[in-house]
Amino acid sequence: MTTRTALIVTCLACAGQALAAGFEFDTSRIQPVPRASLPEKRLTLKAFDTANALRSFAASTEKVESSEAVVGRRVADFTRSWRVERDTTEGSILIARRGELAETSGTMDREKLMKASTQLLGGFGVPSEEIGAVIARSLVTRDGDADAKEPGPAKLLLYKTFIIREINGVTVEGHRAVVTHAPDGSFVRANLLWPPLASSGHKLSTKLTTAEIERRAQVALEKERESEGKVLLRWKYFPVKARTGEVALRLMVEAWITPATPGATETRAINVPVDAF
Amino acid sequence: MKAPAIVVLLLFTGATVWAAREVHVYGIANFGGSGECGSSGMTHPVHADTAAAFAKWFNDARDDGKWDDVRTRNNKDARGRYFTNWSKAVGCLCAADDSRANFGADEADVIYVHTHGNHSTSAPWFSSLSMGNSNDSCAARTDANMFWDDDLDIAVIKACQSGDYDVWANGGYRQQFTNSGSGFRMWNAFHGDSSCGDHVTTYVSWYASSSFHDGVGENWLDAAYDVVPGKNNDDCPVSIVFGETRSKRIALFENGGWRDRKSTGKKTGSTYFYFEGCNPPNGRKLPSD
Repeated sequence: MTTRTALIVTCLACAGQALAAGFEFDTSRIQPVPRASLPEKRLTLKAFDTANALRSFAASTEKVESSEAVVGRRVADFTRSWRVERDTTEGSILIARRGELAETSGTMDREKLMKASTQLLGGFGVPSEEIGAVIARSLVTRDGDADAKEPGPAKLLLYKTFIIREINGVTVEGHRAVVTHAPDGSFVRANLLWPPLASSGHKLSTKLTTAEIERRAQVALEKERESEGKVLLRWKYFPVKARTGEVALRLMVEAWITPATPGATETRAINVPVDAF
Repeated sequence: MKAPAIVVLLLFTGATVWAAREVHVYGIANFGGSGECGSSGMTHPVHADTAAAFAKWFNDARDDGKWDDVRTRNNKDARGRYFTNWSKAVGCLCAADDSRANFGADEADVIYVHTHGNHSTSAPWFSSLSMGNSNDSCAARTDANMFWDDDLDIAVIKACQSGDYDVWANGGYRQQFTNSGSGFRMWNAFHGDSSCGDHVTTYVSWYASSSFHDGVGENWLDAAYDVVPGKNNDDCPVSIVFGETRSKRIALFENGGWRDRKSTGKKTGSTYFYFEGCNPPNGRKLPSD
């Protein structure tokens, strides 16, 4: 650590922001340290049964009429109205209405959509303790036909509700459910990457101090050839897959930086190891 | 020149030319080194990781007998000439070889590209992708290089500003790289900047694995949308589908997949699929009307 860095860290660390080299760290999202235990209620592998998906998302009792191997361990089951694709080794399941999408009209209240989507996920077997941010978005389209000078008006196609997985208030990398409704409010599909948690093997917390994490973040950023910029540090759980399809969680910090490098302006997330236990 | 060149290729190259289903992935991770494009600060190793994640599912499909050919062309192997059509060679004063067997982007049915990108904010309207080899063009532009008139059906582009709304609304993309007889029909990309990191590897893998049957457009939006920390910092995936009617374009978006790349007829129109209000850096807030 440079003298400048040490001085500034001493002065500002308690305020949640600190400068190191050319980095300006925001440490407000890595406090407090997550607890080292899992919630008691968890999603189980049994939930990934086609009948459960049909019942919980589509309120359907239709029988599976045919099945097909897709790729690897992913299989597709077809009923008269629904297709259910699932891969328990990946923790993914997709239930979708079969056939061409019938465009419908209507307007749904976003709060109601988010509540309905969260309830569907609960019915499938996801406990509230695993649910983080819930965001509803309108998927719209515009058409540009023939030689028209202006594209046509925006048309609402579907509503999508994104439900982000969190454990102990920490986002699990990549795990989400996307529940889709038509404008008239009818359920269209649900697309989940949400593997069950293993019974053991998790590393959910850390004993590192904020200052130690900051120093590690600086090393990780410099290794990725970053040299300056505002950096938001936040917790995440990295899922480590087991053969069963269950995952063990490992606590990490993500350093989110918007670099000043010409030609590479996007925000980057750099992993910072925290000796999780 | 093009027709004889194809005949020669057919005579002298291997069986992959005849493969019905081919995917090429281009992970352009290294920049600023000898023979590379750009500056070293643009180097992001994860670009190659996400390309591998995409290819993984096609390798599995090939092992299951459900796909034919998978080619990884990362870094210096991802040359500007492989994204340049012969019809654009004079205009760009650059080499054109987009139908090159096992390398050219227009020789595959499906491509995945992870690199840096940008777009113009006034005429001429275009998006541009950073390439991997400085002996060729270091930028592949939608207007000045690309034109998909051979095999390519679906392109998945993980690059900033690669599917910009204003470029599309001002007539970019469709007539730049398709004509009415072209088979090319889907450009899954990003409006504005899109964040980069290991999370991309996760969502690209999920997207690739879930799109063999259906949802090849919709699953892209499910997987890649994100609210990134910071103000006006969303990741805004978009899908641009080309075809003769709205219903055919929606059918591909909803019910097309890697193995069922539904025909959308003549490419006389396009539909831009997006999330209303999505607000990324270096792109407008996506409109509601």
